[in-house]
Amino acid sequence: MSGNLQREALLKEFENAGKMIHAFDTAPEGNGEEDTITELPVVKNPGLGVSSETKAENMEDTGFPRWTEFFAKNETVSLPNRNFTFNTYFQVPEVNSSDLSSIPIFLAHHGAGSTGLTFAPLAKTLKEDLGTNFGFFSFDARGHGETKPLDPTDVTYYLNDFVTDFVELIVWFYENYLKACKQSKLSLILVGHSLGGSVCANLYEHLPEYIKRHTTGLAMLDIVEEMAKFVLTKVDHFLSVTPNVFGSAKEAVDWYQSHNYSKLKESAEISVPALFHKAKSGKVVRITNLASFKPYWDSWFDGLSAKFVSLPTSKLLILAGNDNLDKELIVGQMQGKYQLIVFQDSGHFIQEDVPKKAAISLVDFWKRSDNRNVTIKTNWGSSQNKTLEGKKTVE
Amino acid sequence: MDVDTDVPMHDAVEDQLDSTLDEEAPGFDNGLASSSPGTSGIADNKATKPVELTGSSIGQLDAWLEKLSQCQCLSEEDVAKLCKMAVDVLQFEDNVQPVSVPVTICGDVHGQFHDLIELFKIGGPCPDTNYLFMGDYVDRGYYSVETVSYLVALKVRYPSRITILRGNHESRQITQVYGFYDECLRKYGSANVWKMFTDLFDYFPITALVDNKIFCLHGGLSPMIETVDQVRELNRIQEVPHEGPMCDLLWSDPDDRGGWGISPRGAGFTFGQDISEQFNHTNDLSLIARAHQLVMEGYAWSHQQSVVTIFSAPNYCYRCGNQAAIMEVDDTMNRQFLQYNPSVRPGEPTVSRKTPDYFL
Amino acid sequence: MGDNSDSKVNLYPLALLMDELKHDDISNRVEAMKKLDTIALALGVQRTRDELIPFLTEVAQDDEDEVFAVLAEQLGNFVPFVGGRKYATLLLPALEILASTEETLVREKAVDSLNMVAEQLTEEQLLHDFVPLIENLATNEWFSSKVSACGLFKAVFVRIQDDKFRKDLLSLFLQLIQDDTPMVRRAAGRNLPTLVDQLTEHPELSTDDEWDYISSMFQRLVNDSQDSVKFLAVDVLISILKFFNKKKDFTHTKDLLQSSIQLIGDEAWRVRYMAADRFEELASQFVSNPQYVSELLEPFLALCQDNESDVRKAIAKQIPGYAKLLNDPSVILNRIIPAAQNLSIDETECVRASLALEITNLAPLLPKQDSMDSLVPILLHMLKDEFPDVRLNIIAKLKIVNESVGIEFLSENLLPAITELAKDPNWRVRLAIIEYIPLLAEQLGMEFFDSKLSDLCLSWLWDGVYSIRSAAITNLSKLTEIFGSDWAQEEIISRLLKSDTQLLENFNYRITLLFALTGLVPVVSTDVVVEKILPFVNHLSTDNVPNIRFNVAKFYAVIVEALTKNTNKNHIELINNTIIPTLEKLCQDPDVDVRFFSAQSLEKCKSFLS
Repeated sequence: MSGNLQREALLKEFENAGKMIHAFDTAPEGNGEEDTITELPVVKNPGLGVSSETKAENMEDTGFPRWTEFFAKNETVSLPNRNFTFNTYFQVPEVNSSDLSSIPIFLAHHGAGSTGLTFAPLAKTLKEDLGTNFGFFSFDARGHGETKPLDPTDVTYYLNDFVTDFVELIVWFYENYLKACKQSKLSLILVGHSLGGSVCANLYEHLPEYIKRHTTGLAMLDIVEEMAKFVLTKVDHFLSVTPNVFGSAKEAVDWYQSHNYSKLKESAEISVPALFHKAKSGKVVRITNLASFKPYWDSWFDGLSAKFVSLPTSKLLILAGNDNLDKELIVGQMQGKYQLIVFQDSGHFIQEDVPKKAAISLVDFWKRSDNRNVTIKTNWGSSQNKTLEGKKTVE
Repeated sequence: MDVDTDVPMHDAVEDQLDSTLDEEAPGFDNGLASSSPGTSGIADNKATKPVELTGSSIGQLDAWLEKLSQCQCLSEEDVAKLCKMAVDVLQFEDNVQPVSVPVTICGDVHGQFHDLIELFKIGGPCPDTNYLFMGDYVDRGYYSVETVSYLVALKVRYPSRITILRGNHESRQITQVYGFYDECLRKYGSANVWKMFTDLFDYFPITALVDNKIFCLHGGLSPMIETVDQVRELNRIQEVPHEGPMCDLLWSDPDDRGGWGISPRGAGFTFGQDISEQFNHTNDLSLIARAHQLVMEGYAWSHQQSVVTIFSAPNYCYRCGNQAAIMEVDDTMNRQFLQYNPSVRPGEPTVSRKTPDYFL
Repeated sequence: MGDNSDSKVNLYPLALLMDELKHDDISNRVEAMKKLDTIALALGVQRTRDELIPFLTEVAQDDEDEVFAVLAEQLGNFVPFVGGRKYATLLLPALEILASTEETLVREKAVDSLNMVAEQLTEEQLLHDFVPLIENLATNEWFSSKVSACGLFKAVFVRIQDDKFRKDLLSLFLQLIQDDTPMVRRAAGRNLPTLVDQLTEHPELSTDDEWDYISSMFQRLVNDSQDSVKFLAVDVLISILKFFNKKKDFTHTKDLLQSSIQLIGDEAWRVRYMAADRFEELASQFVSNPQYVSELLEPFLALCQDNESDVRKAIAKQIPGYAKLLNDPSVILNRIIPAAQNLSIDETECVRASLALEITNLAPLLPKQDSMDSLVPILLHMLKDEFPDVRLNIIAKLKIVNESVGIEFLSENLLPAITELAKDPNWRVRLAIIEYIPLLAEQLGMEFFDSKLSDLCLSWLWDGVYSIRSAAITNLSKLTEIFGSDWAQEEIISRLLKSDTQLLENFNYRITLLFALTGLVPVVSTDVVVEKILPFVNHLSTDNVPNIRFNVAKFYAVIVEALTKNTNKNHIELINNTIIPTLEKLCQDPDVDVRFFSAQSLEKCKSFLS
């Protein structure tokens, strides 16, 4: 088969990382050379176990933690109608956790240029807090990490592509893992970082009714429409100063740390290596070609703030650094339409930089937003205390 | 500056606040050992009973007011003097401060100093006009220091002519996120002035009662406060708590839905028309006047005129495009709303935008 | 923050500041950089030269734009910190680097600072250090350096007495003005007028060689392919004209007139806009020859009918200025007025508002009858413009028309416009019209005023906005100064005091009445004060509202001051029998502010009496 030839050619390519970069710098859809790059994952078909071998290899020379320390499962989900096999990580609640009235399931979507493992430290922290009484789902979005197209021609990265992917994965996760849980207890929280926040805000209306009615709220991490659009105007500079090849995964981790992109070492050690593939030369090469998303940027954030503010569910916005709100978000906040938290000591990757505080905020948000958890105590009506039911109806 | 939430957070996280604060402070500020209440020293030698102003302090206050009216900050020493004087005025005010008519009731100002001056141009100067401000003097605007200094100086100079209530932004936690803390650092080189003012905020009254008929407060009602008397029983001299009646009074919002509801803000509650009507009935009130929410016309009725929201920061954050309003209540209890637009001014300082160092 | 003598005291903050300059967080570095003068002062000149400047030169090569911007600005004031002029050139390397950065803001600040430093350099230092710096920047391959270089020539151009040197500089500048990059050509074009002006100021320095250079630079600009460069030629042309006018050399004037006409009719609207915006200044350079001024008439009229509203807006403001230069009433009447009339009904409101700003200045240029027949109808039409700025601009400048044609002619059409503005929802528009009323009253006369405007003036007293009420009160006292005390008593005071009792229940009404009446005290006769105003003030001394009572107390001092100006026994008696006892009673008021203002007022009253 041509596959072998392709593989050989590819491995040759890997030996010269410089050439790789060159290839990545050109547009993704186009000539044959790039196709081989895009097809790289096919060579290491997870079904054949090659993928896990690679990971083991990665671990050998780095001593970095593996996904197993953060998630219970890592499954490759093939969705032919989406033309992708998705690399997913998740944690399923224990079916018999009976004493709780509500079980939170966090469904997370990472930002552009990141991977599903960016949420690993957050998932781990939540597990420490909630034990087995919660669920967490994360995955590599198209164009990222170990998620691969079935047919690499004609792949697009419009916001709608990401939205539909996630909706179908949520359905898949629900059908395969959440159905076993007691339905009345399910409390789904959408968590989106950066571009992922826009994906989550936009997918809410596309969720099937039977899933939507279990959805308690949406949390967006460090994403503001106006700022995001501004960032996109400056992104060329960012790309020009961000290396795509490092001598080793460790070097990559060190670079991210020293450039203050990742403030927490433990987080960087799981999230950064996932951004790279190991070449035969021993060097590591960035998987995602950020510049290739350029044609789709315009679709990513348009109308996000207005959409978020008016979404008919509970909303939480966590920002890093400053409260750089745009007009829609300021008006919404000043009218009490959503909850805003600012972590001034965090960088853009909130889930990696301050996973503990992010976890506390998310749990708090879930508890408040889910009326099964909340009764409002009041002393109205003479001096005797009585309890009124919360007015919000989820069912 | 560790926990920077618009809402109260768990104590466990809050504990980190003190230890990390001074790391954020600029180099030669060594005064910032802790941000715990009372450390600024402004309340160290409180008067035991109300004192009347002496001629020399009146002269000093008038000089400060003149300076502040030009949008110039007082020196740190003068702020310290002012805050000490203010503690001795505010500590004797009630949780439910009685206010007589005529009075002009105002909402959020948020450091928009030039618009505060515009407000006085519309409503008339203090002391000729009596004023009641319902909180949120600081944060977001560029002149929080000047705004709060000016209002506090007016309060000390004319305690019977102006009432200043506490808003949810008059708090140590919130001001560290939304600008007042940074502004103090920028304008004074240390957090001392911030500490003095936030210590002073603890003494601000939390509600006011105009002629026994209009109940005024920053946020709204609390499921734990059925009568005005219950407000009187609270111990208000403290940081705004994360929950409970005092928190609710500063955080709650009226809502179209009846009964009590969980606030989407993450603090306080929402309350419906049934609740407002019952509260007004129980306490023999004609109206609840409150601020806290941006309303595009500057004021908005809700609950069939049981509640009015007043917002006095026009074009909030220099970008929201809203009108501002104040409510004049005359000596026959007639009410008149005055709306206004941003003051004409040479333009706000532009905040330089840091080039973002990340992808999306 | 300290000086050398107590530098020990400052060592600690200094060390911290130095650390801050290297801090990871950019905002810390920016803040520390802003305190650079403090650091330098504490270090002393020797260490600033030996340690700080080399460090800063390094910083200038490796940091963020925000830090650069502050550094570039700070270095401009740094000469004293390095030990004065002798060492000033030490600052140049860092500034040269900053002047080459990509960020415009940083470059501009660096250029400003370089110019500031250059002012303090000797001719020797300029030649030895500064000129090579300009040459480096000007010949750098990056456009940003060249742009900066353009802004530096003015620092040295006339400061060095050597003709050859100036020629070299001009030849370098000529290179910049024909650079490949439009940004560089634009910067050069923008700086060229300054250089020509410098020559105008130092005519002894100019030679024919220089004129050749400048002329060819001007030709380059005029023929530039980019509008954004070409439009700069207008200012250069004006400077060149000024130069020759100063030298009284008119040999080139005709050519330059042709250049002017060419620029005015340029196909690029930006160029035409520039010519329109500078029209009067440009035309005034040709006054030595009236024929030349007239030759600009057709181009001028073309600008008035330009397709671009921005061009029409610019030329609309120049009309009276150019008309004055023409100095020919018949040309103004037959050519200029029709153009102005067209602009007065321009579809764009800002064109009309711009015309309104200056058009009244045409009045003195025309014979009275011509003004009334041709100009006034335009003005009256503009007074009815739907856009308030147009009306206000006309009203604010009507005086000059009154002087030439008299107010009678205007008044009939004026009133509807004023009445409408008086009700404008924007209180600042209302304020503007109130402030114009005394001027109008002066011109209209009492009779006309009473019948048409006095109701309006009284109605402003009850406006919802305090500032309008306050302006209305000031207005009444100004009107009284014009029309006299009797008028005030009949037309104002008696009408105010007739207010019905229900209105008096309203606090704002009472206090405004109090302010209005006491505002009149200094301008009406003492009889009116005693008979009309004082009884009302006395009545309010027992008002329920403390704000009224303490204002009563304050106004007693005003009244006493007025009554004690001329010694009148009855008045002294009145003061001692009514005012003083009332004030003494108010000094015991339950309200603290009433007590304060009463005591203050009592003291004043006593001083007036003694």
